[in-house]
Amino acid sequence: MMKRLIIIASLVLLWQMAAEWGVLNPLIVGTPLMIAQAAKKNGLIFIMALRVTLFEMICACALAWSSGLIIGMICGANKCRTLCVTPLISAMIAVPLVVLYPVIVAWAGIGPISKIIYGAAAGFFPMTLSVINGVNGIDQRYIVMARAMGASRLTILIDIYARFALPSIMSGLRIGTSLLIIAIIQSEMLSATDGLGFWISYYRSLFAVGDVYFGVILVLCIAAFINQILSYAEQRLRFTMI
Amino acid sequence: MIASPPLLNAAHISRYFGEGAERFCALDDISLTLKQGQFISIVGPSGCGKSTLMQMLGGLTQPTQGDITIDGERIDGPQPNKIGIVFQDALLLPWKTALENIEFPLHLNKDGTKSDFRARAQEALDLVGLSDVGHRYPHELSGGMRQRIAIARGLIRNPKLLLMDEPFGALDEQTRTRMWGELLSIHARSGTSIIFITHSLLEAIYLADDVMVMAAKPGRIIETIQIDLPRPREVHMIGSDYVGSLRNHIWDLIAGPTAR
Repeated sequence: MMKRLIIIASLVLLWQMAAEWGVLNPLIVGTPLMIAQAAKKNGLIFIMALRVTLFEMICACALAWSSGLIIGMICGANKCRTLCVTPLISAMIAVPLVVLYPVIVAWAGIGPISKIIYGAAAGFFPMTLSVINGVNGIDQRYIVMARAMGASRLTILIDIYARFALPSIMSGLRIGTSLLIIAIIQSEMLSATDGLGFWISYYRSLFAVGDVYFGVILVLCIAAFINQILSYAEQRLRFTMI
Repeated sequence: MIASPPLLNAAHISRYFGEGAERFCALDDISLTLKQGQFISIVGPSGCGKSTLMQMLGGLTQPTQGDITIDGERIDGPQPNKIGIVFQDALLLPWKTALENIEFPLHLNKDGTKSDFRARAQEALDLVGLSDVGHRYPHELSGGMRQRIAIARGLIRNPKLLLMDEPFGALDEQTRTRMWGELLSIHARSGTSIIFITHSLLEAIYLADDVMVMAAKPGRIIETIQIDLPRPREVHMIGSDYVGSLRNHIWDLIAGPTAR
């Protein structure tokens, strides 16, 4: 931990030095000092924006995770439904969803709702596909065993299917969530009234390099934080799965 | 002595698969009765419908014709309260320890209070001679141990009938011979009835009171043979002339003209 901090601190220092000595153009790469000044001046704006963005992300995650899990489980547990649904969802993943964004804005306005819908859609498809694939690959003999032991349909779905599919569900969560984060920042940049993406885009147009980089760092922090939570969950689950 | 009514009764059951021109008869007019505590083996060539028969006896699929009753009640679905099933593979849930796997049927059926699940699971584990592996995970156990845990799981709710579908098929010969001894002593101690499906002729003879010999296309029972070996059975009986001649007789039935 100490080592990592030292490495980060020396990189920041090197960055500042490089800009000072004219090796790097501060108007393009910024400097740590510019970022610090921006944070001091516009910190409040960014904190409010962070709240908006986090709110959008949490709502979109809740929507994408739950619908992906439920629809994936229901479709994956049945061969016929899997055959009907999988090609549709695979095709949807290949579609650049951003072309739909103007339509979503037309439906839901430029407020947080359109970001939530767009982000949830971006996370939903990979999540659902992973769950379907995970549930589909289960050895049917376990299902017969559970039925013979007296398990109800719901118990089989939750205790057997979901449990066997856990690794796939987790990888779906990770892929889906990272696409969701990208989608929300992207949609804020395209048209919004608030949010980190919006302010990054706004300050870029003002050429306020420090503010842009401060916003970028905040986005990276969110992504890293969510990634940490998911890795932790994955590790815990892998331990119990074996 | 009053003759006790049969525990299990299957009367003229048949099973067809497929539709229209593809329709074929997998099992044709099978009848069997099983008394409380009786041990029946079913042998037959592969593809004769042994496993289909077991699935029907366990209520996992329904016969096309005929009824199967247990304790006089028609079997129209899984019977977890009366029938325990042990499959060809142990099918233990990999994220549960041995004890948790054995408790699984208790949890599913909310059978008793949670506090005594553990004690009962440990008891079942003792019964199969694995008292000290309760906290290990399936992947840490050998194939024979896993299969014994599956047997403990099948027995945990004291079923009246234990169905076993080639449970020792995947084990090596020495482990299997040991498992025979375990199974016989479990049968003697617990008093459950057992229907044991196998394609090993010696296994069928050595374990059972009666051996039912099946033939394929369509699957049917061609002969039921009473085994006059005293209990407790000893491994050396397998080498006796009596068992040898029975084995030859069953082989002739399976390979002979009546089976075709």
